[in-house]
Parts: sequence; C-alpha cells; structure tokens
Amino acid sequence: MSILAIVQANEQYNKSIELSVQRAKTEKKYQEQLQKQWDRNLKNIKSHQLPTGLEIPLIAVPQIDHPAQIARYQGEWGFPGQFPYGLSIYEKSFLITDGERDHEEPTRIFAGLGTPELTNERFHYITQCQQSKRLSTAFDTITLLGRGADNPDYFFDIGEGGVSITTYQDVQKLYEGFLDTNVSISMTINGPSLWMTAARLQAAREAGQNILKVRGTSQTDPCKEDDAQNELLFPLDKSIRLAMDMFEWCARNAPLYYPINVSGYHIEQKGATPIQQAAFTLANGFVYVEEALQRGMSIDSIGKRLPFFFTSGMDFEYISLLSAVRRFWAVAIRDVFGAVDPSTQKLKAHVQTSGRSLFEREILNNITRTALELFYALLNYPQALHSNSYDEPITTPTEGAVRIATDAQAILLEELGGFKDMMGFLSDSSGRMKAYHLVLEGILDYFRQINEMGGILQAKAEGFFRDEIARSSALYDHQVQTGQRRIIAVNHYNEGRGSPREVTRVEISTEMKQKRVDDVKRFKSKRDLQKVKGNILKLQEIAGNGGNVFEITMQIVKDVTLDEWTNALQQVFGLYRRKI
Amino acid sequence: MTTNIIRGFIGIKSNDGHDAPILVVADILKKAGIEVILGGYDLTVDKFVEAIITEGVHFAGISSYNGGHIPFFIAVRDRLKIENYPFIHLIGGGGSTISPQDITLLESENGIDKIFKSGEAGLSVPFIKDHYDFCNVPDSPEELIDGVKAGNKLALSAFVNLAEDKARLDSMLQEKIGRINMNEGSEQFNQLLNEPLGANGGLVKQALERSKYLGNCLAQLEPSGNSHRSVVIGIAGRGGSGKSTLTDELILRYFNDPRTENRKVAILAVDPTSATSGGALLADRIAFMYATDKNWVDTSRVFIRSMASRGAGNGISFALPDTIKILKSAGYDIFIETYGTGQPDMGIVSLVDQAVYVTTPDLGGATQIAKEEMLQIPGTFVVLNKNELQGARHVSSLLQGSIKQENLFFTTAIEHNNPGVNQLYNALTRHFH
Ligand SMILES: Nc1nc2c(ncn2[C@@H]2O[C@H](COP(=O)(O)OP(=O)(O)O)[C@@H](O)[C@H]2O)c(=O)[nH]1
Ligand SMILES: [Mg+2]
Repeated sequence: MSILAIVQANEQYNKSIELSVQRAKTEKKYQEQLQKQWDRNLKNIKSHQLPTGLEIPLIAVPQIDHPAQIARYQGEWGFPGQFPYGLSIYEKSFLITDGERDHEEPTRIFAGLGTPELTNERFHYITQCQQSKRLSTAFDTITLLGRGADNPDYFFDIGEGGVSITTYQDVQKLYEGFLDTNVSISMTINGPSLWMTAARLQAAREAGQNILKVRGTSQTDPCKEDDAQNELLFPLDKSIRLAMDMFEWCARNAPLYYPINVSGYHIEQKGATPIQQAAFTLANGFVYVEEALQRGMSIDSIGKRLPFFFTSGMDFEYISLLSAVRRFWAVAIRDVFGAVDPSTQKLKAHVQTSGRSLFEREILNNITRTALELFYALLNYPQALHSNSYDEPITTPTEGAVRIATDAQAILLEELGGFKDMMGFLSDSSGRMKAYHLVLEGILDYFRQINEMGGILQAKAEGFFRDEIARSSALYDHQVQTGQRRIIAVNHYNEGRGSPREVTRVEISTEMKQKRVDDVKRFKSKRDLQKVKGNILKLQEIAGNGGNVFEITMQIVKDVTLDEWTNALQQVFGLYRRKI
Repeated sequence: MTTNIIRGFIGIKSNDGHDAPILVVADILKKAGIEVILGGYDLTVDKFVEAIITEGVHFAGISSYNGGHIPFFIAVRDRLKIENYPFIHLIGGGGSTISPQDITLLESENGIDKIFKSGEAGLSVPFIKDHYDFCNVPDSPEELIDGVKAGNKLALSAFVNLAEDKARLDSMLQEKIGRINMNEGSEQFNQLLNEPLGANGGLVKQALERSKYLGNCLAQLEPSGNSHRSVVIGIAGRGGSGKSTLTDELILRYFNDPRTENRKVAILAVDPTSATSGGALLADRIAFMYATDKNWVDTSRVFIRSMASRGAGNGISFALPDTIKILKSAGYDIFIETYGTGQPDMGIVSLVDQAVYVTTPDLGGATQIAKEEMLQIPGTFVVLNKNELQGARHVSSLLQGSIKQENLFFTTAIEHNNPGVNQLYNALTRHFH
C-alpha cells in the first residue's frame, strides 16, 4: 500500500480548502453557488421548543458574513453528516425532540466478572432500564490468552478482571436472554476472537436467530496488540490473516456484525499521546483495508464494517481528536481507495473515557474526570460511549460504581441543555478548530515518517510505534511524578488528606473458581473424543494450507474448547513474541 | 564476607502483562548496584520457582495487577520451601489492586517480606539493602559436588554462585596484588595480606584463602560420565540483534530433534554490568519463551542462568569458564549468549566449539563490515537476522562477498519455523556426534 498516497491525498485536500476559500473571495459565480447551497442547507433546519419555552434551531450553524466563510466551513467540517465528517457522520445525533430521542442511546457498559452465570446476571441488571440493549463483555486474562480455566497452573487467575470462558456452553450461559438480534453484543477479545465470535454466532443460531441479522462487535485488532497490549496468540502476520479470515466470512454471512474494531484505546492506555493514538490507530486501520482489498473485497464492503475505538482523556487534543481522525480517514478512503458511497467514507467510532487518567487517591474525583472526558467525547459525536467506573484503579467495577458511570452519560445527554437540544452546539468553536488542525497535522507527520520507513508493517517490525509510545509513557510518568502535569489530590492539593477511602472490591471466591474448573472438566469429559481429535486435525490442516480458519472454527466450536483451539493453532503458527 | 553482590529475580505473575511497574523497579534496582534478572510476563508458579533456583538469587519480586495475588504469593513461597531453596525472600507490588488488607495478610500472616504500594518503588532499594545483604555461597561446597554430578539444579546453581564469587574475589585480588607484581612470601606481600580488600570486604588474606578453597572445590568436579561430549555454542552480536530470540528458537529445535533425546541443555546469558552502579539488568530471559515453557520443551532438561559481566570487558564474565566447567561436569550442552558491543565479544571465541555472530540489516556499509572483528575469524558462523527488514538485501550482498557461503545464514528469528534458523540449527548440530 502506498502510505505516500494517503499523505498526498490529505495534503491535497488541505490545499483544496485554501483554494476554494481563495476562489470564494474573488469569483462572483462561485460566491453565488456557495450562498445558494448554504441557504438550502439552512432552510432544512427545523427548530423546536426547549423545556424553558425558548425556541431554537435543531442544528447549530455559524453566522456567515462572507461566502469565503462558507467555503471554509464546508471544507473544514462539512455540515453534520457531510464530507469530510468533521462535525458528525450523521445529520442528527443525541437530539431529543418532543420528548423522543431519534437515535439509539450510545451507552455501552463493560461488564464481566467471574463466572458466565454471574456476568449474565450483571448484564440483566445493567440493561433493565436501557431502551436499547447493548452489552459489552470483559473477559478474564486466561480467556484473553486463549487458555482453559481447567489448567491448574492458572487457578488463581480464574475470573479475575472479567468473565472466564472456555467452552461453547459457557458462551451460551453468558449471553442467555440476550441472543435476540435486537441486542448488540460487543466483545473485548483479540487473540481468541475467532473462537469466541464463532461461539457467539452459533449460540445465536441455536437460539433460533438468523445470523444474517446478528449485531455486535468483536475487537480482533492484532495490530494494536502488537503496539500495546501484547495479548496475541500467534505471530502478528498470522494473527492478521486470521482476523481477515473472519472479516471476509462475516462480510458474506453475518453482514451486520463488526468482526474487527480498530482500537486506539489500548495504545493510549499504554502511554501514547492523543496524536500518537490517532495516527497509529489510523495506520492499523489501513493495514486491514489493504489486506481485505488483496483478498478481492470491495472498498465498500470493507469501509462499512470497520468501526474504530478511541479514548477520550483529559488532554486538550481530545476536544477534536475524533473529528480529525474521521476527516483524515474519509479523505483517504475517498481519494486513495476510491470510495464514492458516503457510508463507506464515514468512520464509526466507539469512545471510552481514559482509565489511565483515574487515580486511587481521593477516588471519587474520578467521577468528575470521567464526566468531563465524556463531555469532550460527545463534542466529537461518537456512535457509542463507555464511561469508566470511578473504582477502576483498584478493582473490577462494583455495581454501584457502574451505575454512576452509566448515569453520567444520561445526565450529559438527557439532562444537560446542549446535546439534546442543538446538534453541534459547540462543534465549530475556534478552540476546536485549532485542536483539529494540530491533530490533523500531527497525524500527517507520523504518516510521513511511516512512509519513509517503508510502510506500516515495516515500521512495526522495527518497533517504531512501540518506541514512540514508550517515550511518551515515560514522559507522562515523569510529569505526574514531578507535578508538571497536575493531578488534583495526587500531586497537587494533596496535603491534609486522610487515608484513602475504603472501597469495596469485587472478590472472586475460591468456590467460584472451583466451579469453573468443574464445569469445564465436565464439558470436556462428556464429548466424543474421537470426534474432537478429528476436528482439531481438520482445523490444523486448514490453518496449514491457507484455508479460511474462521469457517472451520464455526463448524467445530461447539465441540472444541478455546484452549484446544489455541493449542492446535499454536502448533501450526508458533507463539507470538512480545516485543520488549 | 559481606561484599557479595545482591542478585534478585523479578517477574510478572501468570496471565498478567502489566509491565510498567516492574520496568520501573528493574531500573531503580540496577542503578542501586543490584543485579536484577527480569523474568518477563505471565510467569506461572512453576516458572517463578524454576527461575529463582537456577538463577541463584537472594530475593524474588512478584508483580501482580490482574488479581489472584494472595494465593499466588503463597504458592511460590510454599514451593520454594519444598524445593529447599535457602533464601525464601519474596517481595511484591504491581499496583492498587493489591488492597491494604491484602498487604497485611501477606506480610504479617504469610511470610512475604514486603509489598510495595504504587508510587513506593523507590523504597525497595533501602529495604533490599537492609535485609538481603549477605553472602549466599554455601559454606561447605564439597557437599554439593554429588548434587552437581547428579544434575541437581539447586546444587548446580549454588556452584555457579560459587564460581561467580571466586571470580569476583579474584578480580579484586588481581587489582590489589597483581599490579605490584611482588613475590609471594616477601615482606611487602605479607604486609598486604592484612590490608582490607574493597570497601567493606574482609582482609586480603581471607580473600586469598577463600579463593583458593573455592578453586579446590571447582577442581574436584570431574567430567560428566556421559557417552557424548558437551557441545558449547557461543552466540555474540550487538544488543537487539536477536541473539536471545535466536537462542530460544534453537532450543525449540533442539527439543524437536530426536538426536538430543538423552541430552540436556543450559543457556548462559551474559549481560553487561553497569560501570557506574555495579548493578545490572539481565533481561534475556524474557525472550526465552519456548525454552521455559513445559508445553514446548522438557524444561527439566533446561538450565538457564543469567550472568552479569562484572567488569570483564570482552562480552563474557570472568566466571564463565568455571561455569562452563560446572555445567559440563553435569553433562549439559551449553548455549552462551554474550552481550554485544560489536568488537569486544571476542572473549567468547576461545571458550566454544562454535561461535555464531548475529548481525542485522542496519549493520552499515563495507567499511563497517571490515571493522567487525568477529566477522574476520575463520569458521565463525555469521547470521544476518531480521532479514525481512528494509536494507537486508544490501547488507546480505556485502556479506556474501566476504563470508564463505557455508558459514553465512539469513534468518527471521521471530518467524515460526523460519527456514534460515532451521539451516543454522542443522549446521550447529554437526557438533552433536
Ligand atoms: N523484525 C524482527 N525483529 C526481531 C527478529 N528477531 C528478533 N527480533 C526482535 O528484536 C528485539 C531484540 O531481540 P533479542 O533477541 O532480545 O536481541 P538480543 O539483544 O540480541 O538478545 C526483540 O523485540 C525481538 O522480538 C527478526 O528476525 N525480525
Ligand atoms: Mg539478549
């Protein structure tokens, strides 16, 4: 892939804005044309009445004194829902008119603890007052590393930090009552994503659902694992191949399902600056686009099913980060990859508040931090949102903390005057414009460097992304330690504070862990072992000869457990080497 | 004797990859003059215990963030007891997921020496220096000799500690006596015998005695009773060229090779001692993924030891020759990874059956190649690793001009079953007969 082409397309686009502003200053005809368009756009904007009785337009638009400003606005931001999608990919989001919201609430709450049964209960609890049901699943690390809960070496770790899953039956229990196609389930899983996704799709099928209509997301972003998380089961190139096997299969057989979620969140959590997060995540996105194109998929079928996932943190850049990312992506997808369909150009994003910005000291302050990060996130009009629980620095979120985190979103979206009343009410502010330009320029700069290194995968092989992230992480730590970066009650105003508040922690009891072991062992012992062996051999054969590993995983997932699947493929592909 | 260098092993517990705290601690310890062995991520109880034993450390640190820490600490402690490890000193940390109650429970009821809270990494140095500054060389090494012969890892490890201690004393004595070049028995010499050695060491005379005694113990080791000869392979090259990764891949092939069914293998990984602090960060183990994983190799037949150079300037450690002897007498084949600074890792050549020099596509041009001494030694295997990176083609054609084809290998060590690594392995195994 030509990174150079992506750089040039964005440079070209930036230039084209200036050109069109120049033309709007001098060419009469162009001025008229712009004005006409503008008036048409304005005419379409309806207004509505606020609870206070005030009548306001549903969409915010700048006051225009000269057509050059129209050219600037349209080139830089575009109307909501219009290229380059700086303000929003949709015309309307978050508005509540006549007491009705016109979009699905964006709230997603991450949950997962201990056993599938317990997590299922938590899901029921969280969603009881949600209109649209959107689940997000956290798995324990045994599961994330594709291992089995029955492995005695890992007994300690069962259910810590997320739900423990090893068998198809576990997946059925986990999502019982949520397999209906109107529930969207998102799964934070990477290495074993093919197995987990196959199990989830088969569970839906067994519950009588049509897979063509199943909705949800699997994270499956091996590139960012290599940059930050390190939780890959196979070498990077093999992991990318597996992800694309699933991507290709889903495009044909589960078109509403998002099999890959290009994730900047973990890159940021590892220490990246906002601009690094934006640049590296976009780069990873282009890797998948290129791989999919090479498999003969069309840019339309690729672009429509490649959602992103970013952080919203305390840094200034976040007021425009997602806007900038969307524009950079849209320009490249349109001008380099030739996508004319707007829905292909539109980058869909889930945003989560920053776990790294939360601290243990004066722990309730985390509620304020999270609320403000949510606010910054919303200024960028993301499609889905997750807010962290204040107790996250010390425990798997407790029920009460989760509730506060969810409520924060509702307060911002449904209580506070702003998002519910007027689309884009702060969107094109001068400060946001400045941040937008700086972030775009920063992204471009990184792409120029990546180009010089011979491309994204080469830059990764040389450890460029990791080194950049490590550098930023060290700087951040230094700033926190020295107080250059002010963290209230941690390195500033921290005197005279009592000992830390005691907070309840989630405990996974030994009995619960033992139950997991017993359940997995029982499942394993009840199977026809000859058949299991045969299935494993089939899997290895297809993995070895370049066939579609997801397709065969769908066939064997009810029977072959997660750890068996992992071991079988590791024999073929080898282990992933964590970069140090 | 209290001048012993403190060695510690630190690692992250199973199913956990939160490496930030441990990297901070490793750096602090190294700067404080401690030899710290970085064990990496995702270590099971087995892996912790195995590493603590073969590394012969005074203390071990366990980092945990993901939870499950209490039973994990206790399991490591109990296993060390069962193995009769002489220094059961465990410390820990990892972040605020270890609650104050957990800390109390571990420290006061379960014999864990200390858990450091987040932000307390700096406190680890005074704690370690106050508590672990002692000599770990057994008083009667003779008792260990049978253990070494039997291949008992604890005995082997203690013996390597002893060799390291001897090397340390010898180089201090060398500095004190060697320069004066006097006759033993002369008055000047006798006077020197009663002078102190080093800052807080004993007297010169005690050190001399001790060194002689340790030398005698080492001399009692006999060649192994194996029918085959131990093969020693030395892998040199600059830091980051992929030596550890290659070593790990070679070990995997070793265990897939039917010819080695009755053989055992040791890895000696040498990293530099910091000239300013005297401490060292020994981090090669992180790359030994296959070599430490019982799902891939028979770990009972693997012995891994990290060594700090302790002032030897030629890519090795002064204790290396004796350590090789110890492992040979237990019948091990040996892979030695030297630390790479370019020219000086020549020290390895005379100690091994086969020297391997690892380089990468950023080696540079023809003049740089002419300057690399190890490339000039006939018979050295030259490996161009990271062969998939930009610039590989250019360097490979330069190397082809100056190295015999049968001694030149092109590898991508991070690729599973890489054909270049296979070729290298096959070429090395001609020593296995
Ligand atoms: N791109 C690439 N990276 C490699 C290769 N071999 C090793 N590495 C990476 O290079 C880094 C240093 O490797 P390591 O074995 O620790 O090098 P050492 O310092 O010479 O022992 C690690 O991140 C390895 O994963 C290779 O063939 N290609
Ligand atoms: Mg190394």
